[in-house]
Amino acid sequence: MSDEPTGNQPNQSLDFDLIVRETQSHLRAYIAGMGVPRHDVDDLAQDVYVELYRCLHRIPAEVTVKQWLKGIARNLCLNYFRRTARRGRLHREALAEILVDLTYEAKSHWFEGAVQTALEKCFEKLPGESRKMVKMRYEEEIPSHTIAERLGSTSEAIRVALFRIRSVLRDCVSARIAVEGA
Amino acid sequence: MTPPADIAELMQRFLDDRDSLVDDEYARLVEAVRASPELGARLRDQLIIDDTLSQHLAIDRRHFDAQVQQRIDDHLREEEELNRQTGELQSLALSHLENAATTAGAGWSALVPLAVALTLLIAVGLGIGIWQKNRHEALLAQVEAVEGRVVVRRMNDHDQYAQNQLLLRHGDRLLVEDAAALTLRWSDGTRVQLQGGTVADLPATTAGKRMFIDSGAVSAIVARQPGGRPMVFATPHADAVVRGTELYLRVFPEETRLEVAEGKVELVEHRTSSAQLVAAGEAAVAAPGEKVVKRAIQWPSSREGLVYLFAGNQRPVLVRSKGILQPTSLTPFGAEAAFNAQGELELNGGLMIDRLAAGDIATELRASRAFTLEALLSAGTSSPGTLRTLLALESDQGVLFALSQQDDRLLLAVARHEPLSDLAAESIDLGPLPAAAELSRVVVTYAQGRFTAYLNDAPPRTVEWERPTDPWLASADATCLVVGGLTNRAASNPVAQPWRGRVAAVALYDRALAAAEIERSVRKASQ
Repeated sequence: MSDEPTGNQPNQSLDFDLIVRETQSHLRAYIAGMGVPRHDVDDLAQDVYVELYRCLHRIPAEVTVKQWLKGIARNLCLNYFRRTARRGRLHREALAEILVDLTYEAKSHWFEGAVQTALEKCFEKLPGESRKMVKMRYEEEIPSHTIAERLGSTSEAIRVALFRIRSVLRDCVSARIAVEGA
Repeated sequence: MTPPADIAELMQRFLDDRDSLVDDEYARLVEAVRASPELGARLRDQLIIDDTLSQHLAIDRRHFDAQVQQRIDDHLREEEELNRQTGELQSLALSHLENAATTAGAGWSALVPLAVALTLLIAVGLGIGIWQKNRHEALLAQVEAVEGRVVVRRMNDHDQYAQNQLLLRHGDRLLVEDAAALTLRWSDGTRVQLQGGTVADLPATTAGKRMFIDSGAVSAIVARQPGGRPMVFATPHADAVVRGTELYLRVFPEETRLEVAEGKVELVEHRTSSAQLVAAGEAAVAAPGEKVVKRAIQWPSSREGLVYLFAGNQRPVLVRSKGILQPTSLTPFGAEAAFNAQGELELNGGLMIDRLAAGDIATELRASRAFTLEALLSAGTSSPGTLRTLLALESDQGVLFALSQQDDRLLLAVARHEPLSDLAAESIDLGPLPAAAELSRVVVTYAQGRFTAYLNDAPPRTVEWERPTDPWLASADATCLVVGGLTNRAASNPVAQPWRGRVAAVALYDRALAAAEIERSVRKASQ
C-alpha cells in the first residue's frame, strides 16, 4: 500500500482488503499505544475499518490512507475513553492524548517497520524462563498473580519481570529494524 | 532513562491492568509522562509491545481479518435493507406520477396522485435520514419504568433524575438508589432491569449493545442480536456475551454471578479468558484470575439482604446477626407440628417457633425500613370465616406483622397492638390464596408505604398503606417468629386459630425485592 498522496482527486483505486492486511497490525498497535485495554483494541480497530469501508473513495487524495486511519482511530479512541473509562476518566483521556501525540514523532518506528517479524525473532532469543513467562501472560492470558503462584513468586515481581522483558524486546526490535533499514 | 521507583510501579501496574489505578495514581502518572516525553515514549512502547505480543500469541486475536470481514458484511446487510425499503417507496412514487400524467387535464382530481407521489418522494428522503438516525439509536436505550430515585449522570457531569420515556445517551452513567429500580428498553425489544444499588454505564459502540455493570444486579431479556454483534454485559470481573436470552447478573466486589433462564450466555473472565457457556437453568461465577465455575441454581435466588431463611430441615435455618448469617432454631410447639419426609413443616394445629431469631430480624428491619416476606406453602382446609395466621413476627405489644388466611383471602396485619380480635377487619387484603395441593408462592414486599403482593403467577397487587410508615419499622421490636399461628394472644383470642397446611420455605429480607427478582425466584422455587 502506498503511503504517498496521489493527487488532488479522491483515490478510486484503493483496495480495501489489501489496506486491512497491510495496516491492521500497525493500527492495532497505534490504538494500544493510547492505553486502550487489549480486549477492546480489536473492537475499535474494526470500527475504524468500517468507517474506512464507508468512506474509502471519499478520502482526499492529499491524505494518505495511514494518516486517515490514524485520524479516525484517534477520535474513536478518545471518544472510547469518554464513554467507557471507569476510573480516572479525565486522566485516561489526558494520558491518551499525550501518548498519541508521541506517536506522531518522526523517529517512531513502531508503525512503519516490519515489527511483527522482528518481534518474532527477538522473542526466540529470550531466555527460556522469560519465554515461558511471556507465553503464560500472552498466549494463555494468565494474570500476574496466578503466574506468580505457579512460579513461586509475587505479583509485583512478575510485573517487574514482564516490564523488563518488554524493554529487552523493544531494544531488540529497534536494533533489528535499524539494521534491516540501513 | 530510569523512571522514579513509584512511577515505574505505576507504569507496571497500568500495563498489567488499565483499570487498576485510582484517580490520584492516574494523576501522578499523567504528570510524570507530561513532564518527560522520554518517559511517555517508554510507556507507549511498552503498551505497543504488550499488544503486539498479544496479537502474536493470543488465539482469539489471530483472525482479525475475518472479524473485519464479518463487520463489513453486517454493514452491507444494513445498507441492503435500506436500499430495499427506499426502492419500494420510489417505485410506489413513480407509479403515482405515471397515473398523474395519464389523467392530466382531468381537473383537480388529477393532482391527487401527483401530490401522493411527491409525498412519497419526500418520504424517501426523510426515510433515509430517519433510518440512519434509528440505526444509531438502536444501540441506545429508553427508560421504560422507574421506581424510586435513579440518577442519570450525563457526559458533562450534569445529573438528572430518570423519568419514563427518557432517551439515554452514549456515556450516561446510571445510579440506582438502594430502594429503587429502573427498567430500560431498546428498540429491538431488549429489556434490562437494574435493581437497587446498581451502578451502570451505557456506552454504545457500533459493534453492538454494551453495558458496564460496576456493581449491583441486572435482569435482562435480550432480543436476538445480529451475528457478530452480541449484547455484552461487562463487569469488573467478566464479560457476559449474550446473543438473545433471559438472564440475571449480579456483581459483587469479589465476583460476578450469572444465572440464565432461557437461551445461552457465554461468561468470560477478564484475566484468564476462562469461559463457560451457561445454558437455561444454569448459573456460573467469575472471580478475578479464576476459572469460570458453573453452579446449580438454588432457592432463594438472592441472598442480598436476606435476614432469615428456612428452606426445609435438610438445610440449616439461618438468621442474620451482626451482619453474618448464623444458624438458628425453629422448634415445634405442640404435637401437631412436625417436619414431613420432604423436610417441610406440616402443621395440623401446632406451631413452629423461633425465639432466637426474632430480635435480630427486628434489628435489621429497624435499620432498613423495608422488607420482603417470601413463603412457599400449601393451605389446608379451614372453617369458613375463620382467620388463621400462618406466619407472624410477634412482639410484647402484639405483632410487627402477621400474614393470615381467611377463607381464600390472604391478609396482612401490620404493627398491631392489643386487642388482636379485630385482626381481620384492619388487615390489608393481599388477594386470593389458591387452595391447591401443590405449593403456592407468596411474596410480599414493603418499602416507602407501599405493599406489593405476588401470589403464584398472578399479576402483582399493590396496596398503598395509609398510616405513617416510619414509626412502624423504625421502632420495630420482636420476641418470636411464629409459623402456623400466634403464641402470646392465641389462647385468649378465639379468631386467631392455628393455621393448617404445609410450609416448605420462608425467607425474610431487609429490602423490597424487585419484580424481576421475584419472577426468577418463583420460577426457581418451582424447579
